[in-house]
Order: sequence, then structure tokens, then C-alpha cells
Amino acid sequence: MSSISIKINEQQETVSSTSTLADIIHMLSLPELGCVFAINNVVIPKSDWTSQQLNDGDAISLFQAIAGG
Amino acid sequence: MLKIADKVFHSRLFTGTGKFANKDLMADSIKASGSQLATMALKRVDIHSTDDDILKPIIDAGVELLPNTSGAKNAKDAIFAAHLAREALGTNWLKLEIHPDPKYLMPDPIETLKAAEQLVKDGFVIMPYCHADPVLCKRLEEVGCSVVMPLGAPIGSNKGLVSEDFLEIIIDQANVPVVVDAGIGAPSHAAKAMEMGADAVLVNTAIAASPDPVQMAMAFKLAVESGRMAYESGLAGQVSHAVASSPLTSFLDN
Amino acid sequence: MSFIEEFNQLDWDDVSLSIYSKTASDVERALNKPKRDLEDFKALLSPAAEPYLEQMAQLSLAATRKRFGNTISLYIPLYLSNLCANACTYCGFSMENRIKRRTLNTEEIKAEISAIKKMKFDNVLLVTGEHETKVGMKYFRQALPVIKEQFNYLAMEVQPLDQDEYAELKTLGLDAVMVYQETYHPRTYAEHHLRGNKTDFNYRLETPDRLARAGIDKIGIGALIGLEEWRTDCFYVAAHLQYLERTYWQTRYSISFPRLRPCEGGLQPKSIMSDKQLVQLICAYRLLNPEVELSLSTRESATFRDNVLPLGVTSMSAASKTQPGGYALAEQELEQFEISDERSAKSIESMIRQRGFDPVWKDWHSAYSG
Repeated sequence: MSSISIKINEQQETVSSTSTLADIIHMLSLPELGCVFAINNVVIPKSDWTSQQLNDGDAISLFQAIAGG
Repeated sequence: MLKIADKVFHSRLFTGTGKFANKDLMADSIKASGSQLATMALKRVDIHSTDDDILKPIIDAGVELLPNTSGAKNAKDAIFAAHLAREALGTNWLKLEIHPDPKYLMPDPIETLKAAEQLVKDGFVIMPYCHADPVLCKRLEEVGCSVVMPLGAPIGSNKGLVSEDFLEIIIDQANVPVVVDAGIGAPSHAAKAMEMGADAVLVNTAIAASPDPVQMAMAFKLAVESGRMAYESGLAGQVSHAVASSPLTSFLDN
Repeated sequence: MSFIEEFNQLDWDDVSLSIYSKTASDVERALNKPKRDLEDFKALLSPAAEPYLEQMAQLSLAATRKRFGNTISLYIPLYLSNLCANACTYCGFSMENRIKRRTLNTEEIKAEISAIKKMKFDNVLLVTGEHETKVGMKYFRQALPVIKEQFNYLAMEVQPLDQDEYAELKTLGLDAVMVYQETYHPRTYAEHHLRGNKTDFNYRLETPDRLARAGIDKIGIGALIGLEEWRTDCFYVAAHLQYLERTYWQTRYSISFPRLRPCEGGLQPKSIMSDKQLVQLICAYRLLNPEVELSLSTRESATFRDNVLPLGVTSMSAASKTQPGGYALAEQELEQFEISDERSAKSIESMIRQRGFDPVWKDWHSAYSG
């Protein structure tokens, strides 16, 4: 299986070419509730996590809910 | 009972999740406080060092989620953060906070009003954090915010109701619930806010930074309940004006 | 949305009962609070407050000084017409009364203006009966600019108009509008307003909402004391004021408390309000609301006005004539109601100064947007 190189929050990461956003969440052991992706400042709906195509060189943003006031 | 947008709260104490020593202490404190609404922030994930999930313990405790937009320095950032939060947490409730000033964390009134107006149109339930400026609070109400959240004192200062005189005006003029947020450092401050007629208070630092957060959370719970009960019973007031000597109404006795 | 929604939540009999059930300790508690609400107002209005009148007067005086200083604003009514298409049982201008009807033309208006200006007034209240066609927007469009040219502040007390009509009059210089509901009891209202547009209780009740939305600077409300049980009616005025302040927070407000006076027609008041009770009412309004303008007209006697002046009132009319053309000419027959205080503006000014107050002829409020 081929792999591609993407950036998650500016950090380089290598993933398989068929990876989905859902896979990334699982790979990072993150909870689904509380996380959200954005690509080019566009918020990606959760329903697109398994369908969103990832390409080599993509820069994605990943946010998580954390403690705060 | 406090109604905000489509939800009804029995507890008038809202809590923040920040500054706790660990996730378990945070969860225990929130439970002890009886709070039904807790705020949290959004952060970019560091893939090499991910954070604990704070949401599960909160949800398990039956507490509603209120994401905030802390980190936003202007309306554009806040609007983006709002959409992220809605997607991340599955709630359209949002605590809008915009502080371009990283030192004192004072809220930007202009960006906040701008963002509030847009986000209300986008279908969010907006709870805006702002300075205790009565006119600003009316403007926020007019653009459709579900509550107003004027500060008692700067965030984290624990100074209490420095803005007391202005909170009084805001409470008098508001047609939406007033939640005093920021600066509440002791249960007595929270009780005072409730006695004045505030609809709720939001407390974070005073609980989280206490040596015994769980006990402090309980103290705040009691203070908020007591303050509200006092307000509802009707406070007695003080005699502040002595009766002067020369009668003003004797002309009526003819 | 308008006051009607809140009005319908109130029950006249419940309010009455509540007022009459207030006790001395309710009154004492109300007096000792720094900030009073409508429940406190009920206590201050109630019979239980009567023994506390002196204390109420002292507190009311202090609150008024604190907010208004030692100033009294002066205004004068300018009756433009007594033509009327309504039949109201208590009013000299009722269409059922056979009196000589007159509407001032431009020349006559100018004569009135001239006479008024000699008396130093700069704040004028235009009054008409209610006649949609002969004294309606067409007439106002022509009269207002002529009058506004000469006076700083222009108020009107005429028939209720639509919001866009108020907005238009504002561009012609309208600053304030007085619109009294007369009574907030719909059935009693219907008994006293027999014919004409004024029979529409709800339209009148919503007038302050339309005014505020049109951006009018100041709105005056009140009840005609004596048409109904006065304590309950005055409570409704206070509730109306509270709703307005909360909803239209950028508008100024004024309250008047006209007591039914004898007039052509001879109506007996349903409830009589004594002088003591009028003082109680004025103080109660002031204690409830430290910021609202309280306005006393020449319906009341000179002695009464002189003594009440320091207690809470902030605005007075003087040298009033309630017939069209009354200033330039000296006709007596056409009065809307009998004036009790007939002193000249100069006399009033002198009395005001003697009591340590400063008469204010010009309201500076419109300085920037005029």
C-alpha cells in the first residue's frame, strides 16, 4: 500500500494513501466527540470523515476540546 | 429555575474546566458544584502529545457543554472557532470571548458585538463574555444573544464584583439573563452577585486553584443557592436617610 | 411586540387587591430599600403608606435633588385647535359639546408664538382635539416647521398616529409626545370614550411603542385620575413605564398626573384623590424611579404647586391657556378644562427662584442632532 505525506497542524505525518480523517482520529487515539478538522479554514463536517479524500501534501488542521474557562 | 434558549437549569452556578490539577479532580469538582453547564476551549492537537478527553466525564455527570472561543483575537477568529466548536461538540451553544490583550485578557467589545451578530444569524446560542458596560450589554441583547456575561473583575483576578455598580444597571435593564462571569474569587462574591439579582454566575479559577477544589465547589454551590434564595425572599435594605427636621407636608394639614 | 402582551398578563382586580393588602411593614421595607420595584410601588401607593407621607416626601426630595439638582423645566401648552371627532365624557372639547370650534391658521399660530416668546418659554406643547381630516398630518406638516423655527423643544399632545407618521414629524422637529391612556381599565375606558377613533383602546395603548420605534426623544404617559380607582390606574402607569424603559432603553420618559377637573359637561370622578394623596403619588413615582420626569400642570392650584415643587416634580407648565388663540387674544369661552393656577410666567419664575430653584427654559438635549 502506498503512503502519502500530509501535515497535521504543521506537523509532518506519513499515512497510507487510502487513509480517511476517521483513521487519523483512531491513529492518534483521540475521542471522536470533541474533535474537528478544518482544511484551508473550512470546517469539515463529521459526516465526511470517512469520505474525505486525502492527497499528498495536504495541510489539515485538527482541533480538540480541552480544559478551559 | 433558569431558562436560557431551549434549556432549563436548576443550578445557577456555571463552571469552567480550566486550571485543574488533573482531569479527575476537575470532574469531581464539577459534580460537587452541582453545575449543569461547563465551559471548555478548543486547541490545535499536537499529534505527538495529545490531551486527555475531558468531555466524557463531564457528559457522564449530566453536564451540558459550552465551548468557548478563547484564543480568538478578533471576530473572524471567533466565528471560525464557533463553527469548529459546533462541529466538534455537536452543540450550537457558544461562549463568545475575544481577548486581543494577552496580558489582562480584557474582552474586545467591538469584535465581540460583530461576531455575536453574525453567529446569531448562523444559528448559534450566543453567551457573550464582555465588560460590564450597560450599553454594550443592551447592544448584545439586541443582536440576539441569549444572555449577557459581564465581568465582575479581570479573569483570574479573584477580586470579586469590582464592577458592582455597573452590574446593577445591567441587571436592571436586561431583558435576557445576566450571568456574572470572571473575577469571582470567593463564595461570598457569588452570593453577592445573586443577591443583586444576577441570574447565574460562572466560576473557574476560584474553584480550580483552591487547595481543595471539591470542597470549594460545594461552598460555591451553597453560596449561589443562598444568594438566590435571599434575592427571591426580598432583602430588607438599610435605613440610609435620616428624616430631616423641617416638615415638607405640613401644608396639607389645613 | 408591544405593551399589550404585558398588559394582558395583569389583572385589574388582582392588582387592586394587592395594593389594598399592603401593610405598614411592606411600606417600611419599601422605604428602606435603595432600589424599589413595582411591589414596593404598590406599598407606597397604598392606604398603608398614608401615615408615612412626610418620610416619603423627604426621601423623594432627596432623590430628586440628587438626580436633577435644583432645576425645574418650564413649558407652555399651545392649543392649535379644539375641533374633535371623539366624544369623551370628561372633556370640554367633546364633539357632543356645543362650543365654538376653532383651528388656528398660520397667521394665528404666529401671533400665538409671538405672545409666548415674550414670556421666555422655549419648550412648547402643541395640543389639539382629535380630527383626522381637518387637523391631521396635512395640518401638522404645515404647522410644525412654523413653530419649530421659533422654539427649541417641541412636544405634541394630539391624536395617536402611526409609526411612520411620527417618524415624519420627527424630521419636522418633533421632540416629544404626550399620550395618556386616560384609564387602563378597558370597560371603564369604553364608558368614557363613546365615539370616534379614541374608542380604540389597544391602538392608544400601543402608541408609546410606536413612538419609541419612530425614535421620538421623549414619551409622556399617565392616567386621568378619577376615571377609575386611582391607585390601580397609577400602578398601571408605573408598569407601563417599566416596560417602556426596559424595551426602549434609549428613550426618555415623563409622567403626568392630571386630576379630573370641572369642565363643560360636568362629570363626577369615580374616585376622588385628595391633595395628600396626590403628594403621596408624586413621591411614590419618584421613589420608584429616580430618573423619570414628573410633570405638574396648571390644573392644580398655585398654593399646591408652590408647596409640591421641591418634592419630586421636575417640569411645570405655567401661564397656560387651554383655548386656541388664548395667548394673543383673551377669549374665555372655549376652554378644554379650567385652569387653577393662572399666574403669569414671570410670577412663576419668581416663585421658583424664591424657593431656591433655577427655572430652565431651554432643554439642551437636542444640541447635536438638531
